[in-house]
Amino acid sequence: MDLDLTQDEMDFREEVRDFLRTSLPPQVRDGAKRTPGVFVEPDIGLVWHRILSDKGWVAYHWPADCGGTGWTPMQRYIFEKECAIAGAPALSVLGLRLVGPVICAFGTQEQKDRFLPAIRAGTDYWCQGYSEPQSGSDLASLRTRARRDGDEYVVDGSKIWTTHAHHANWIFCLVRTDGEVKKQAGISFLLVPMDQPGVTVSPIITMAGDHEVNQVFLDGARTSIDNRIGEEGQGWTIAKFLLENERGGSFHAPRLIRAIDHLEQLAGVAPSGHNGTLGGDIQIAIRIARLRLEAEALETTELRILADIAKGRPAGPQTSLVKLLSSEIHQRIDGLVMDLHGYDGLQLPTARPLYGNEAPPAIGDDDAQVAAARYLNSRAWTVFGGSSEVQKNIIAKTVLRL
Amino acid sequence: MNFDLNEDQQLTRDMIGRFLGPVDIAARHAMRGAEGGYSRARWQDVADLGLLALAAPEAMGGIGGTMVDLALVAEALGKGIAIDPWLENGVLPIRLGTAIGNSALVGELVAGAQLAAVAFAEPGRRYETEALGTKAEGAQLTGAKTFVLGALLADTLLVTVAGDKLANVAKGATGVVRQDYPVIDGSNAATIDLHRAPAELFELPEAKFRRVIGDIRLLAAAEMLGLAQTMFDDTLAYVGERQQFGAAIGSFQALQHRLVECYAALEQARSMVLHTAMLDPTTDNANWPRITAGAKAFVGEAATRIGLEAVQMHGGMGQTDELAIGHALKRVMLLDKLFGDQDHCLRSFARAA
Repeated sequence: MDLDLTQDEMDFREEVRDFLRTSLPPQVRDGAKRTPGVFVEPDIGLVWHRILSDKGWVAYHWPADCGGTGWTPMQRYIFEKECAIAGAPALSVLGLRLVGPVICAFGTQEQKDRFLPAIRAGTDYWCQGYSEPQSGSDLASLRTRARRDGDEYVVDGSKIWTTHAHHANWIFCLVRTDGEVKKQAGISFLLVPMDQPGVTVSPIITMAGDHEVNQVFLDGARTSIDNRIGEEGQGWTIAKFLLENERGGSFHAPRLIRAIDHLEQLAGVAPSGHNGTLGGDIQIAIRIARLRLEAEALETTELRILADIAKGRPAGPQTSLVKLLSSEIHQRIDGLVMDLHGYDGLQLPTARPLYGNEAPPAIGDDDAQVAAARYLNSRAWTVFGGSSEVQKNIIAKTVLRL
Repeated sequence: MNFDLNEDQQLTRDMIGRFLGPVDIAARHAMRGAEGGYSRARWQDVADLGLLALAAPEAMGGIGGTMVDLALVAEALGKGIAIDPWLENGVLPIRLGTAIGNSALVGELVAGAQLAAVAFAEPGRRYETEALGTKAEGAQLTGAKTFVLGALLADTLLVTVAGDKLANVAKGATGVVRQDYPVIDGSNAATIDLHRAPAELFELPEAKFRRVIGDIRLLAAAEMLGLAQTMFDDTLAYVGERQQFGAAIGSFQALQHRLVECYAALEQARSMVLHTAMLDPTTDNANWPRITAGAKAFVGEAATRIGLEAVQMHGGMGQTDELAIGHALKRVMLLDKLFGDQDHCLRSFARAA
C-alpha cells in the first residue's frame, strides 16, 4: 500500500501543470471565482471547454474509441486536481459527464458519430430532462409521455430543475413509453432538440437571485426515433448508469481542499475587529481544521474508490457516499466563508454577472460580494443529483443491506 | 407565574397579523424592486399602528411598551415575514434617541415623520461597536461606516462617534458620501464616508449604548423566533402534502425525527425569548447586553437550523425565491449577524459569566 505516483504519472502531472500555466486565461479563472452559482455560465465555461477541446483533453472521461483521452483513473484524478489548484472552472457536466458517456455506452455507431463530436467541440449544449414537478426523489414515477407517430416520438409533459435549459439546444429526457408495465420498465431515454415549437423554457430564479435552472414544457415536442438511446423500456437502466456518473465520476476533494486553503488565506488577513486576524482566533481556526480533516479524509476515500475502479472493481454505491459527504462539506465551507466576511458577507447583489466590466462594486473584500449568494445556491448541493436523503437510502439498502 | 398574553398584547398581535396578511411573494418582489426597496407610505402605516410609539417612553410621547410587549411585536413581524424595517430603522434609532434624551427627534421618529438609519459598524471592525474610526472635530465628522441598514430610505443618519458620542447627520449633508448596496433580506445597506460632515453631537454613554444593543439583540431573537415558526409551519404542511414513493414524505421516519428536533429547538427558542424579555426589569445595565447576547446566539442557531431544514425538506422548490421559507431564511441570516454573530455573542455571554 502506498500513495506514490509512478514516473509516468509524475511526468503527466508536469505536462498538465505546464498546460494550465500557459492556457488557462485569467478572465476565465476570474469568472469562475466570481460566479455565485453552482455552474459557470457558457461565457466562461465554453471558453475553457474549447481550449481543452483543441488540446484534445476535454472528453477525459470517455474511452479512446469514443474520442476520449483514454486516460487511466489516476490520470483523470491528477488532471482534476491540477485544474482545481489552478482555479479552472468546472466544465458543464451535462454533455461531457452525463449524456456523452451514455451515448458511448448505449448508443449506436450512428448516434456516436452524430452527437459525440459536437459535445467535444462544445457546439451542442445539453440539458437534462429527469426531474418532474411530481417526480423528484421518486424519479421512477415520472409522467412525461412519448408516443410513436411514424418515424417520430411525440413528447408531452414537463421537466423541472433543468440546469441551463436556456442555453441548451438539446435535452436528454426520461420519458414513459409504456404505461402498462412496472413503472421502471416503461421508461425510455430520448434526445430531443430544444429549438422547436413544442418546447418552452420557463426560468426559475433561486433564493440568491440566480437563473441556473428552469422548467421545460414539452407540448407535442417531436424527435426522431433515431434519437432514442437503447431500446424502449431500457431508460431506467440508462438513467441509473447516468446518475452514478453524476454522483461519482469526478473528484470533489481537490476543489474542496483548494477552497479550504483559500479560507485559511482569507482568515489570515481578515481583521478580527479587536485584535489581530480571524486566523488567530482559536474558534475560527478549529472550524477550519475540522473542514480540512474532513476534506483530506474524503480525498483518500475518493482515491480508494479510484483504486477499485482502476482494478476493474465496480464503484457502484460508493459514489453515493462521496456525493453525500462532499456536498455537506461544500455547504459548510460556504457557511464559514460568509461568517469570515462579517457584515460584508451579507451583501447580496442583484446584478449578474459579477465579473467583467459591468459588475457592481464589491463592499469590502472582492470575495465578500459572492459569499452570501454562493452560500444560498450551495443549498442545492444536498438536493440535486439525488438528495442526501436519497443517497442515504441507497447506502442503507445497497451497502448496509438494511 | 403567568405566560398568557394580556388583552393589549393579544390585540397588538392580531392587529399586526391583519396588517401583514398572508405572505405575498409577488408583492414582496415588487416592493423590493422599487426605489429603496420599501415604501414610506407603508412606514407611515407602521407608525400609525403605534408600533414605533411602543418603543419610546411615555415621557417622550411614546407608549412605553415593556420588553415583553416589544418581543411579541418582533415575533409577530417575524411570523408574517414583515418587509418593514421596524427593528433597524424603528426601534434602534428611537432607543438611541431616547438614550441621548432628544425628545424632539424621538417624537419625529415615532410619528414616522422622519426615518433614521443608524451607522454603528465600521469597515474592518467586524462586530465591535466602539466607534474608533469616526471622529468629531468641533461639529464636523470624519470617518467611515459600513452596513448602514436603510440608509437609502432614511432622512437622517445617527452615527456613533469616538468618545461615546452619537451624531445626527442629515443624509444629504455635504461631506457625506454614500454607496448603497443590496443585502440578503432584499433591503439595502450603505457604506458611508464622512469628510468633515456637519453634525449635531450628543453624549451617548457606553452603558446606555450597550443597553440599546441588548434591546436590539433580544428583539432580533424574537423576530427570528417568529420567522422560525413560519418556516416550521410551512414545512410541516408541505411534508403532509408532498407525495413521493406513493406516500406523503412526512410519513417517513427519517423526516419525522428531524422535524421533531426542529420542533424542540423552536420551543426552546420561544422559552429563551420569553425568559430573557421577562428578566429585563430585574437586570442591571451591565448584565443586559450579556444575557441578550446569549439569547440571540441560542435563538439564531435554532432559527438557522430550522431554516436550513425547511429548505432541504422542500427539495428543489426550497431553492427557489418563490417560497416564504427562503425569504424568511434570508432575514434570519441578517438578524443572526446583527450586533454579533453566534460566535461573537456566545463569547460575550461566556466571557462575562
